[in-house]
Amino acid sequence: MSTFGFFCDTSACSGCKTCQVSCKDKNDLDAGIRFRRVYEVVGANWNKTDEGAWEHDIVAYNLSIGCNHCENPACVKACPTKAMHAELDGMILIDPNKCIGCRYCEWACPYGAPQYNKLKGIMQKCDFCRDYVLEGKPPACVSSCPMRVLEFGPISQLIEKHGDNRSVYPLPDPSITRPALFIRKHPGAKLAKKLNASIINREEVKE
Amino acid sequence: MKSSEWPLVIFSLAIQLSAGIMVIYDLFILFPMYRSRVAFPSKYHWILLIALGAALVGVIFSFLHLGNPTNAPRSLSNIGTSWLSREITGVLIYSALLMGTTILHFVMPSAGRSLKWLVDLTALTGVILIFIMSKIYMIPARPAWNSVFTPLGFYMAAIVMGASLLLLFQINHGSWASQKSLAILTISIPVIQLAILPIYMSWLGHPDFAGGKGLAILLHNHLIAFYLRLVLYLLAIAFGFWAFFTIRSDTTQNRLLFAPALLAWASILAAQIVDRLLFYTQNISPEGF
Repeated sequence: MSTFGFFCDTSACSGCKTCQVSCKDKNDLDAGIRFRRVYEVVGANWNKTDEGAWEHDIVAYNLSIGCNHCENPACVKACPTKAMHAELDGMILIDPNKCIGCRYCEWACPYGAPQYNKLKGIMQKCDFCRDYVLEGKPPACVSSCPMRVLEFGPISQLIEKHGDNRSVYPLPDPSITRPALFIRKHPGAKLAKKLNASIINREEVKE
Repeated sequence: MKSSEWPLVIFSLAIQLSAGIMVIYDLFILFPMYRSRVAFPSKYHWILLIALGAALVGVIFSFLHLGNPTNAPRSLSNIGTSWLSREITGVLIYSALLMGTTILHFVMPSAGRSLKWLVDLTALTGVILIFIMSKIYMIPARPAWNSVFTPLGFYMAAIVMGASLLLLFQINHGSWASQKSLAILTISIPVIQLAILPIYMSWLGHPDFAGGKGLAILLHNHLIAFYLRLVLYLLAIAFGFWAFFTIRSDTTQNRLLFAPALLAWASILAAQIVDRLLFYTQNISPEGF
């Protein structure tokens, strides 16, 4: 079980992507590799009321996620070389000396966390800024967030402070991997499914 | 379709072709011979060589899929939980068995019962290997693959590619019954694939299933390939029927069978390539992550 986790307040995230940029900077990532990704979730619709008037529903919020260092990590089970492994403290790390670059972890992860480095031919991903954490500092994404939307800490503390909600639309069912990701839902999130909201910056995040 | 998918397309089809050849060879050629105690004919060496060649092509292309092939031997180290690790192990065991069978066929064609058992074991390993290959794709994060359609598609690909290729090799050699059986398989599998297609598409397009995203990708982004596959299936069926009605009870008069059998096999191979490319377009995360 992971000892640490992230908290993301989707009700307050402005979508500035500072976390994404600071992560890229800290890890010196090439273009196309994103250990942290900010997804923009948007949905809207017009409805005719019983009185014949038209009203609109609209929802828009941002969701910042990296690797969730899951309790039941699909990537670790899938990895044929054990390059993707769980440390004793629960962190899911990749041993670059063992990785064959088969990208099977990328398929298996429902959160899109493992990223393929074409130049190195191996997978890479968020390691909670392990070096910072060992020094007692928070990960780069957390310390750079101007809205204080992201938090990092022991799972027990995060649950005590924010509750044990691990999902918001359109994140996958948390029972699949038990992510160490805790979320404060945006008030509009309850409408998101009804409005068929979707990630509108998929090309930006995936390409 | 991404260029990075070609090694996977060739790898999976080559292994399935090889396994299909072995299963059909075992069930439709060796088994009847074994029952009637006919000696193992040397002409089938070529079939084993083709099956072995296909397996080796598969092994080579599996390396091309890797970003860092130098670490490839490590891929056998997580058989406990990784279906990919199991697949690689399975491919190695299958290829070793096939190589042993082929060598024995050449050096000891009179080995009889031992040879038959070895072919049985190789074919069975091939069947298990195809199941393992399909399990790789049956993961919750990729719902368009995570269904019974995946193993069904893989098994049908193996059977039809193997049957149609062996039909070619049976010309002037095989019995009337085995030729007819192989022609029926060559026709019936594409018919089943066509019959299943609407069921698969309605499942893929169901709103509860990722909002029908899989079907949208299939019909909006790959419409030409989608229709090409249909045309190739229909051609395979037509050529299969042509072959079926060309088969004569006097199998020495079967030279006319060559053209339809070759065309049927070529159509089937092309259909399976397009089918597999379309399969890899369904590598979608429903939520978009």
